Amino acid sequence: MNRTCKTRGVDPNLSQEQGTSLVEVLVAMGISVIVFGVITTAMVQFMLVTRWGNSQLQITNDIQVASLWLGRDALEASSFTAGTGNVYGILNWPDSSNQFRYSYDALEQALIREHIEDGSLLTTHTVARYISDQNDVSFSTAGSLLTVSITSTSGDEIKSVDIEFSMRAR
Amino acid sequence: MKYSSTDHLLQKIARNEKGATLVEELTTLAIISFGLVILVAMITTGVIGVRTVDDKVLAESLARSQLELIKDAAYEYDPGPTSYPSVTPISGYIVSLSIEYWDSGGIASPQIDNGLQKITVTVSTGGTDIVQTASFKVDR
Repeated sequence: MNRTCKTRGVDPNLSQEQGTSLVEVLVAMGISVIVFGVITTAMVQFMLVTRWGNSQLQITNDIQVASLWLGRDALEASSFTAGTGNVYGILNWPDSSNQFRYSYDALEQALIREHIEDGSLLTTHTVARYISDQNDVSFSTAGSLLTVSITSTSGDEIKSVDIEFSMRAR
Repeated sequence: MKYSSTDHLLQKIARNEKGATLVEELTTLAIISFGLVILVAMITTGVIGVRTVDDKVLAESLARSQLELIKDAAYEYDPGPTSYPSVTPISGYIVSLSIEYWDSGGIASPQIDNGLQKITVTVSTGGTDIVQTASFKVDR
């Protein structure tokens, strides 16, 4: 590109000025494409990894919290009565004065724990928040041993564990 | 011939106009690279953190299940490796047991089993111990 106009007698220095050649423009574009490509890839990876990490933490937290509550309740219980419908079952104290009822909340897709004392509801807790189906949690007993299977799902991440609890109250 | 005011301006710009030098280019590249390295380091740290939490939670649930199974079982004197039930392992995790006995001198291994055992459960993965927890079992 020549911006001088010799006929008008512009400073001769200007006539020395040369623009960028086609090769230079192409090289610059090539480098820019590579740099932006790398930056975009990094950003996409960052978002994907963040989403993966978030899902992982949600489902591991589910399992951790559920096992702590169940462990606490099983320690005080002497028997487990299986429930019907959305109720998985009830952990009973030896004298049945206190009961811990575990059920599924289809709306919230959550495992719910209710503490019932002498027939009246005392507290309600959400024990696991990422249970996508009622069948993803199951309770089974063999004598005083309670086995709870929990499958927690968040995004593409799924985690299943079987946790054993000994109902120790006599 | 007279210079127009536009020509004066053009002349001024042209005289001061300089391209970016190599040093400037390299500095820019270095700053961009530094930013990218930080981004990659953040992603890596995040992934390692999440994996650690994952390992801990699974190992804790295994250790808890193993102890609960032993609590539920009847007391075994001088137990061998298979005397107590063992938990169904999660692939990649190893659950190991160590049992010490009580005698008049205190808890030590090996001693005479007098009806009190200290049971230590260790869960490891990839050769690293993740969780170690201990509990007591009494013959009653």
